[in-house]
Amino acid sequence: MFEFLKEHDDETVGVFKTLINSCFDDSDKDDNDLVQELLHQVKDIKLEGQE
Amino acid sequence: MLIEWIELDNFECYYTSPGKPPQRLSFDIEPQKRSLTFFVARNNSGKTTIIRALKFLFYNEVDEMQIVNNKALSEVGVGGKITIAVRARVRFDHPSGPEWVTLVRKYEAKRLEDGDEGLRVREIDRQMTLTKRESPSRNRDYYGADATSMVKEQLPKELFPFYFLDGENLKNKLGLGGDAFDKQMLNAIHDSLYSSVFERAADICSKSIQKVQRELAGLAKQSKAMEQVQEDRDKKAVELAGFQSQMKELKKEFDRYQADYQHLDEKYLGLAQSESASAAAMLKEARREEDSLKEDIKRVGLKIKELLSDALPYAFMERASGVALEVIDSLHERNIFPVNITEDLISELIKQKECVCGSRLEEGTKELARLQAYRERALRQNMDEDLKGIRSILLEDSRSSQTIISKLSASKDFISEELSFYRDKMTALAECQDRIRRAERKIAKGHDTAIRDCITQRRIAFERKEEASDKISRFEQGILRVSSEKDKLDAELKRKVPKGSPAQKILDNLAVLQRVLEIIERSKKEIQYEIRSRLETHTKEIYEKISTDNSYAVIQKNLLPDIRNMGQKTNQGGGQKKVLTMAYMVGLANVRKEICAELRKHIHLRVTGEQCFFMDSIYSDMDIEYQKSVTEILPSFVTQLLVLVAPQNCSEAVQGKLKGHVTDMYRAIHYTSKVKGDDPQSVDLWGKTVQLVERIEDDLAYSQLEKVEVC
Repeated sequence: MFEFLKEHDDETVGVFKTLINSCFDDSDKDDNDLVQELLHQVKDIKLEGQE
Repeated sequence: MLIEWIELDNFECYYTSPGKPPQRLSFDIEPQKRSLTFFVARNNSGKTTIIRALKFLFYNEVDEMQIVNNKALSEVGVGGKITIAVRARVRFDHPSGPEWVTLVRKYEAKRLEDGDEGLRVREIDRQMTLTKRESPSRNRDYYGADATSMVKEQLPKELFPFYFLDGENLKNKLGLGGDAFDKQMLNAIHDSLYSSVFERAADICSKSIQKVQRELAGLAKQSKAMEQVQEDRDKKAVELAGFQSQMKELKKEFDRYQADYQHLDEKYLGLAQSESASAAAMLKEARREEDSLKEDIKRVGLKIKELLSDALPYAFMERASGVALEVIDSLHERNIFPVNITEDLISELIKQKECVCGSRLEEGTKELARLQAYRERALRQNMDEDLKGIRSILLEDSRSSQTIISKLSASKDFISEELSFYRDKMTALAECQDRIRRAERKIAKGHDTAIRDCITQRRIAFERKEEASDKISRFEQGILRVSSEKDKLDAELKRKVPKGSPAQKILDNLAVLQRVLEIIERSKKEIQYEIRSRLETHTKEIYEKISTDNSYAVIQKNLLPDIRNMGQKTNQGGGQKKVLTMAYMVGLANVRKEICAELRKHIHLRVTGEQCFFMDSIYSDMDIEYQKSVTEILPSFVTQLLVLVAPQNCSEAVQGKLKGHVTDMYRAIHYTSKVKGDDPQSVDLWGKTVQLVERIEDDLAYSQLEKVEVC
């Protein structure tokens, strides 16, 4: 199961896993907070990559 | 999840004496060992109450009429309060290790005036507390929704009916049959694992994408070089969305016309057939009448022929009548009876005969007169004797002619009468044939009208369908064109974004988010597929281990549809169906455990999927061989198993197999409960670890059991 994750780059898979974990762990959190966290993470990744 | 013990405090039949602790059913959990508990008790002595107590504790489900112990309630005065409680110590299994919690759900009620049906209560309060050890010196209590969500995470409510299996009443509990049964099972595991989480993740990802797009649009507006391109691109996006929306409507319209077109044949041909059927019935009736009339006419014709034969016996008429009869025969053979010909023919024959007879009479009279004269002359010449003889001959001749004439007159009347009847029948026949022609015309017309209508309607539907199809194809071209223009503008936009600029970074982020969304969608499909295929594999494996005399392929073909159709059918087949049901249920638990393990490799999942398994009345309707197999094999598939069974269904063979489980692998315990005295509201729990009694159904065996120690 999830073998297809290998087809994707680590960065994308990392974001996917973080997002799913957030949805599991922070089920009480507001959706907007989760959107902010996700965007923050995505931007950080790209900035780190460019640095 | 495992249950260490459960206490029932004035819950249903489990009465708690004042000042005494409530009764406790301990499952004697030991680390690294599976827990196997047999609860053997007679009917109506509190077995299934254990399952209802857990349902109350975990999910707050309660039967108001049944929950309160009547004995305890009777000890409270009217207006007094009573508290019912179920407590359990439960192990939650987390990937990081087990966590023990104590769950308590209390139900507080006030006693009302007794009603016609006995004691009555009104609920005052109901609450749940989950106590968890946060540190060696500190416990923390969780209440309400917090506590409930922790329980649901470990054992989702949707899965409860499957793990707490009442073999007798599962079908009633589920209230389902056919595909709905499968669907509920798959949905239960699906929902318990990931569905809502993945749905939410997809939603959050989509919202993030929208936000990034808005950000990009805002940034684009800040750059003059990009402004126009962005504006054009936005216009194209709006145009595209409009096209797509119209396209959706058009497709709906097309589908509607397509359906109309397909239904028209059936509808109008049906009408044509109905019209034809009505006319055909008329035709059939008219033809039957025609046959009957022809038969009558034939009969009358034959009668006339007979009368003619009777009336024409004379030699001088033989030739003429013979010709006439030949003509009539020939007409009869062809079923043609022209009234005028027959009538004319008869009249002519009669006329001829009258004429001949009249002529003979006249001749006779003349001859008589001549002979009279001759006689007179002869008298004068003494020739009297001769004359007498001649006169007698002439008189005889004359009488004969008169008889013939009178006979002919009588025949003529009779024939006229028959002819009149014949004419009536011919008239009726003509009317009947007229009706036949009308019916035939109606059939032809009915067919023509219905088919013409059908063709018209079909042509209209076809034209509309074609029109919609043309529009769709034009829209498709439009969408392709606008989409291509938008793609070009997107590409241009990208070209104009300098590398390393904020806009480029946003575009890159957008691409990552779009890929994440794609992964979420694919993951959903992947897990759905895995659940289905693994459930099938596990069921097969478990069934084949338990059942020795049937291959799974045969059982699957014959029994699986029955299981899925439990709503309609009763248990049959010496327990095969029950075994297969259990295999299905245990397979479900295993799938959940496996999927949890797979998910944990990729995401942080707080549950392991380990499940306790309670099975009620599993041996009823099951033959001994199956009972032995179930007892031997089933415990190896689950971590905790409680079997509730009535003594009459717990054979020696079962007990023999059960003893085999008392190894290093298992910690087995045997329980029973017994009604105290004659009071069904007061049930005592009795138990004995490991050493099973030989014949548990007799009272001596009960007396050998140790009373359960209560804490």
